[in-house]
Amino acid sequence: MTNPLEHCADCVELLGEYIDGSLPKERAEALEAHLSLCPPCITFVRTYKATRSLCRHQLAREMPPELKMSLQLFLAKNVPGYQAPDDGSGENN
Amino acid sequence: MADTPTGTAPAEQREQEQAPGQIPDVELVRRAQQGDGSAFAELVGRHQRQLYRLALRMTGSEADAQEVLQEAFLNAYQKLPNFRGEAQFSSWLYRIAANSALMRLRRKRRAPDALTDQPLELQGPRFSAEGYLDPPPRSDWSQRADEKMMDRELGTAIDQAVNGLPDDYRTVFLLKDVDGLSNEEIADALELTVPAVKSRLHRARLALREKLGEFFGE
Repeated sequence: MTNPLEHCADCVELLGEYIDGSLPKERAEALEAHLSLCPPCITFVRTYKATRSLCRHQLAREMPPELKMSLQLFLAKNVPGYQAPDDGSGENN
Repeated sequence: MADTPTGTAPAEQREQEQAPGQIPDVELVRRAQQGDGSAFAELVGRHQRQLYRLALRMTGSEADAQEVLQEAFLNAYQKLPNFRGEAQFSSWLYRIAANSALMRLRRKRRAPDALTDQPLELQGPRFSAEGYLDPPPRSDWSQRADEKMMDRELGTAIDQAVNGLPDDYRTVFLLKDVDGLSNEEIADALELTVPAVKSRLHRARLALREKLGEFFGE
């Protein structure tokens, strides 16, 4: 049984790497052991993750089609032999 | 175990990655270096979305992002003979676009009307002297987050919170958590170390969590 992290501050400090899956296994287990004993940190982790998904939903941006078109026109004019796809979008995969 | 990590950027956001059976970037670069304009067009098509996001996040303006994209791809074409393949083509391209965006930002900041108030210092959770969350979170608003996704007031709160971050933190957060670039790609583009990217990302997330907690009445 892994010893849990002692303090919430340590748990919060490691949270970024834990959520991203890049925390070394031993540290992740110590963090999870802390979470199993600490309801406030469980709530903190959930709201930390929700922050990320809410922001992604609100702020995601796709490249506008007219910008793709103007980029293709610009490159066709300035790069010798440049051949944009027929639809002018530049999407070719 | 109470919770699990959610992994890195979602797969649907990693759209510039090479699909199975596709000609590798390195081969397209070789052909483009020999004057094959269609190979260069293929590279543009493959990388334009991620470059657009990088340019948009760095400049904060659609019009600037458009100019950065044009400049970056033209620059890349002109510098292509010097590309030796020591770095990934995508990293090399991001670096060119990031430089172009930085130059544009510097030019703008010299203009008097571009001066803005400095954002407040980043806030995160508070801890007691013993290292416990103090105050502890009052409510688990993550469960209300899904139903609030389309809420206009929440959208405004998110916009304000993100815009209130210092530039360096905001850019890293947007590139990673919204646009799905890897830590390494962000580090390459912004000339940061990977630990610096991770640190800024985490501080930004903590500050945004505080702001959203206020919105949800935490």
